[in-house]
Amino acid sequence: MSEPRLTNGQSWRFDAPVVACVYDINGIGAFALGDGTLRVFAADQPPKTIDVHRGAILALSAHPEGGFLTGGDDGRLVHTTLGEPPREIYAHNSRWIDNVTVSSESGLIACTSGKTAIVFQGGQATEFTHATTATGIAFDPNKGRRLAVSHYNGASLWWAKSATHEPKVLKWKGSHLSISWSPDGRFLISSMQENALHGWRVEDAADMRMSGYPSKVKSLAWDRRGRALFTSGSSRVVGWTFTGRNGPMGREPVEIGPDRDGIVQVVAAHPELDLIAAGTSDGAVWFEWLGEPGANFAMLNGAKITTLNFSPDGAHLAIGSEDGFAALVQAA
Amino acid sequence: MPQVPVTVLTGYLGAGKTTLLNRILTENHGKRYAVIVNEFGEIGIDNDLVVDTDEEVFEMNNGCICCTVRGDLIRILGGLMKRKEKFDAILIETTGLADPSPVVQTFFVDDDVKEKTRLDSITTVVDAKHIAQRLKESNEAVEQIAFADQILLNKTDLVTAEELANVEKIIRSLNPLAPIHRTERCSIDLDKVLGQNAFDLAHALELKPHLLDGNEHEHEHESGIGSVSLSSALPLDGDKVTEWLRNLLTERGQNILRTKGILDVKNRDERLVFQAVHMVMEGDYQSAWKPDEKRYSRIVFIGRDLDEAELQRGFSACVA
Repeated sequence: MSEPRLTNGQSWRFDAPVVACVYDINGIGAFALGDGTLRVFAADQPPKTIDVHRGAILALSAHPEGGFLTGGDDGRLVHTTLGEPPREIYAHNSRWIDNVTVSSESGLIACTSGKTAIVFQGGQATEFTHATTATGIAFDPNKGRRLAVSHYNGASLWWAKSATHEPKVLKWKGSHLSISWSPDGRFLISSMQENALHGWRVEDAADMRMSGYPSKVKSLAWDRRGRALFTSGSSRVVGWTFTGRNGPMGREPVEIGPDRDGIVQVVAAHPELDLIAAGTSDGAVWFEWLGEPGANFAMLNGAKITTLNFSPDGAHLAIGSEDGFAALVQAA
Repeated sequence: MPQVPVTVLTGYLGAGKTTLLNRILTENHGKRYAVIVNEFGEIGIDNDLVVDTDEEVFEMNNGCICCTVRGDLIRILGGLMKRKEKFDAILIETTGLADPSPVVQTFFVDDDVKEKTRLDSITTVVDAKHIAQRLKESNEAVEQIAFADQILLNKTDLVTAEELANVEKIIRSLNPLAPIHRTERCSIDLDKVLGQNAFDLAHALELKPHLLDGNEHEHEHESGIGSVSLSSALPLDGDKVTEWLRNLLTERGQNILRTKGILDVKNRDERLVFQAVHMVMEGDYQSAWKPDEKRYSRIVFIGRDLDEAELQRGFSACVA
């Protein structure tokens, strides 16, 4: 295996695929791995290994109280903070926990297990069950009290504190694989099995189709003002404009970054600057300033990139890949 | 990274699928398997992994009316590939009443699944004692045999030699291609079942060069499912045959369950090997014909209400 070429950063090689990375509310970063460990890193120190799950970690989020929230194929939902033993929040004996999400506004956390989405608050678990598998979950960005769940043939919108009501169902035929709110809460976007995104305007459930991708769209990143959505699934990053009442309808998407053979797998938007980062199927990571064509490569010749995340201060970009290679590079 | 072979296990309720799975999970075979089941109720046995799922058959919005996939499998196979340890093979158990096509089409349609895994075989477990009756009652039982790349003819100790010969004859009328392994209590060397590359016709022919021979006469079972085998000693026009197959499967793919073929295409040194499940077809040019080898083209269709004369006319028109 040839080592990836890295500019301007430090790297590690773990012996399991890197599934996700995230920074917690205190700016501590963690990689989640396919061997069930978290590799937690803070400024200039080597990552610390914490055993959390028995199988692979499938989902990772920053916990609203600090530390990390993980779901695994051992059926467990776990809260891990540095210096304390991991705390199990929930366990199912035979179903994977394959999505986790949190709301910093409401302090709620949630996960999916099969057809059920489960919301946790103060030791109380509320279950929301669907006709088919819950494939993605997200709390609304305003107050964090509404939970959107994607599934076959659409998405369901629940009030997160009570399961004793009928959800608002947003219908669209086909298999929806994930769900994301626009930062202003006006739109919900799902990625679909058919190499396309589907969107709904929440107020009236108006449909939006965003298609034309050569492969599945696995990563969505909203710019910090919520005016644009940057997406993977093509050789370049595809950006859709979300200003105005109709969002991207009737407007051509913009394409960002170099046109290479590899397909963009992950996109990240800088928290403070007009800077986009992307990681590709052939192990490249590049930065590009919006409106200024010309990419800077941070990495080349690696394995498929699986995760990218800017540090909260925007100084670094954390990179993880399918073969266990992970890196921390200077942003831009 | 090598693709993990996947065996799809079908068979009517009580045929012996669970017996086979239990053997795989408990025997000391030195391999690491993942088994995807419905309602198994336990997780993680020794070295192997059991994943519990609900069969979720999803329609694709790709304009292909019979194109359905197993959404749950796409998700689970993706999850398994995130694990540190790699699996020697993955087994997918389907419920007794399931139509095998969505699970098979999943391996043609989803790019992520195609990248990491390959379909090794559709293996159908058949109960020698009860199959004749099952086939009269159940369309699914018929299709499970018609779809198979290999068949475990189980419970052979419960029938007479004559009954067994009769059952094999019925199976052959539904599926002339699939090798039949006779077993008692699913007792068979697992290496003979798993990792056989039976889905790949070229490989199957390397093992059994005459697999496609001797089926000159089409067979048909009382269910209307049968097979038609076509052959030609003259080279074919590559464009014409591809177009004919594509049109044929688009129009008739709902009734054509499986198609497998090896073609001698004019001006090509390699053989074109293809196969299809309903309307979804894949194929490529594989090993070259040897200089002294007698070249041929042969296609086998397994399906419902096949019109041999029409198929023969279409095929003959493709001769270069």
